[in-house]
Amino acid sequence: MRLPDLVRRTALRWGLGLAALLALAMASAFAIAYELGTSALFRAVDRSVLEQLELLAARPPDMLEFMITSRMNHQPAVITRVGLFRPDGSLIVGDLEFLPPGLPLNGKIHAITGRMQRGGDSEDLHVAARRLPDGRILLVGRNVAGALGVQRTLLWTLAIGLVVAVLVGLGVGAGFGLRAEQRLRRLGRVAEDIASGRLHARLPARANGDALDQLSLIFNRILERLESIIATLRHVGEDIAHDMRTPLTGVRVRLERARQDGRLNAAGQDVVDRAIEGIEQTLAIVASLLRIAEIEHGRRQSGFTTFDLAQVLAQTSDAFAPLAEDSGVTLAVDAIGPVAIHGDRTLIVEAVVNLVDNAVKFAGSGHHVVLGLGGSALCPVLCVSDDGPGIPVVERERVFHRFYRGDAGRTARGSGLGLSLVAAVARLHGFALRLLDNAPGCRVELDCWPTDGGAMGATRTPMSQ
Amino acid sequence: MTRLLLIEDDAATAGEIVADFTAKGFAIEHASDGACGLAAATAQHWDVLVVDRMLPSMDGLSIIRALRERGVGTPALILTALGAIDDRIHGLRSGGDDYLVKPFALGELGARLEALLRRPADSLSPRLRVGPLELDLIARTARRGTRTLDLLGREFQLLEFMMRREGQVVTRKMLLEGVWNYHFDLKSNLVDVHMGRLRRKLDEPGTASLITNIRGIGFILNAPA
Repeated sequence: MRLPDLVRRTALRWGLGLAALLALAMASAFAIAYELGTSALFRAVDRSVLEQLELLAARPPDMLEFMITSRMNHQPAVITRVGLFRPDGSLIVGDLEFLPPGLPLNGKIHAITGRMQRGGDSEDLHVAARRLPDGRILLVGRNVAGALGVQRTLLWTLAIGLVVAVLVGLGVGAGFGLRAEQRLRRLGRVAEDIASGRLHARLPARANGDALDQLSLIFNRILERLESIIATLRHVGEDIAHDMRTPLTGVRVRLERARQDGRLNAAGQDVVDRAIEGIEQTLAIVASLLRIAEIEHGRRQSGFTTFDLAQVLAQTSDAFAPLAEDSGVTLAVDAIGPVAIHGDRTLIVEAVVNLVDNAVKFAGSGHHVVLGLGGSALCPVLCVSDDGPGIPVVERERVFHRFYRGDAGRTARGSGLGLSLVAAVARLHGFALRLLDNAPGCRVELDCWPTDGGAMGATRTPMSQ
Repeated sequence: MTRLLLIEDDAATAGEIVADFTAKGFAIEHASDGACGLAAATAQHWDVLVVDRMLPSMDGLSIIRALRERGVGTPALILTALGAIDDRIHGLRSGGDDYLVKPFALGELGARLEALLRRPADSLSPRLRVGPLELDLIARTARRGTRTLDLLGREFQLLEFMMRREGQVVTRKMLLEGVWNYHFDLKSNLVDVHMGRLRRKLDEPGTASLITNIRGIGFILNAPA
């Protein structure tokens, strides 16, 4: 599964989930606010209605008519309505024309809607009515149009607030999701870099950041440890090579002196010669190991120049033609120059020489080796191919490792370090190196432009079959 | 007797060089740090200097520079570790000096010192002659006696390199560097193959080969006596 798809889905889920959660929280908060707000509003209205009803009912019965009349004269009935009715329901005095039909006379609040005055508009009222001890009916009511308006306004406000909240939630959620996605993608990129061998890369992390940052910091510590362990391992190899050099050189000097002494007979001379040859080979391996280490450590690119790769190929072919001819191998160049590349010319020459030397050695008598240049002017691809026995798929990755030689190579000369040196040169330049099947034979391709943007770019050997 | 000053702090390497070159008939003296070495180098006349690059108290390259500033032109060979080769070291060769990467065969060191001591005169003559061999450097033609030699470009360069060092041992490394411009170890018999072809073209039946193989070291071109 590709990482970005997974990331995108995760981020989107997070965004939507956050928005939904926010909307739910807002909705319930709004519902509670609405409920509490409106009930408080109506409770105040109802309490004042009931209080007035009790207040009026407690007055002396003969005063009631006068009080209602004077009250009506002083306060026009806009909000509060009062009515005194005869036991049969007809109006004695009041600013209601008639007793609302079917209204229970139990002194409790009832919501009614209707016309209260002849020629008036339909009104919303909360009313309470009771029968007085003398049989008359007292009614107090209050127009709740204002409260209803407040209620409607509240509802609208809350609804608009909810919509805004959901939108903001979605936006913020998507924003967080996108940010998380970008972070994850950045982490993914670095992780892939690390997986391809750039152990000095580090995950981006803030010191006081979130859990992801903390995790990244831990990973970075692991990487540091890994890098130092690998460096130690590499140093062990180099140290051994270093340490072997002096005693080996000493042995060679003593053997050389023994040969020059002239005290050896022919058989002894032969033994000494072969021993020197063996020491020479061992020293050559040691020197190669140290050379590879030198290239791998040398992240500097100060020696980089722009030069013609086609010319390098022509010169290498010129140098190796007699050698190839002696081994029965046909060596040809298929490169039209000039093809300018940027790099360390000495190292590229060394790499090309190693590739050609290897190809000629392993192709075998009767086969062909072609030194070619493909790709485009901006992205030239160096290609050394042969139609010899080739390299089995399972062994391809391994041939770039130090010392490895396939079965076919065991009889040929060389330390087995040639291709590791080429890989080290490729890594220094950030060039991609591939070992492919030439059907038949083997084909090494080197992309001569930096694909990994740095001195320690990865060397990949695709195993596509 | 050739007078050689060795400035080297590593006792083992110094011991081997002293033993080997004393046996070869050199008058050799050894200084084990930079300051003593510089003092010794200016105090008396030497034919050739061998200087380690990494020295206590003074860097090998600084010693060479100090000597040149005082007008001492003694040819010098710097011994350097792999990994310390940079442009300044490469520059030694164009400046008439030389360098050698450790570890080296004593034969290699001997051949290079000989080359430094007998630095070929940069003669402006367009013709080179060694015994019956004659090179026309302008027309790029080669002859042995009256016979014209049909040499390829690289073979011509190889022969020119050998003729300029007539009677000197030339190592494979020197040839790789001087003829092919390969400044790295090549574990291949490239030089031998080219040399073999050149020799087949030069040699004449019944006479000794002009170029002989010095086992374990390299080749030498001698004019027949």
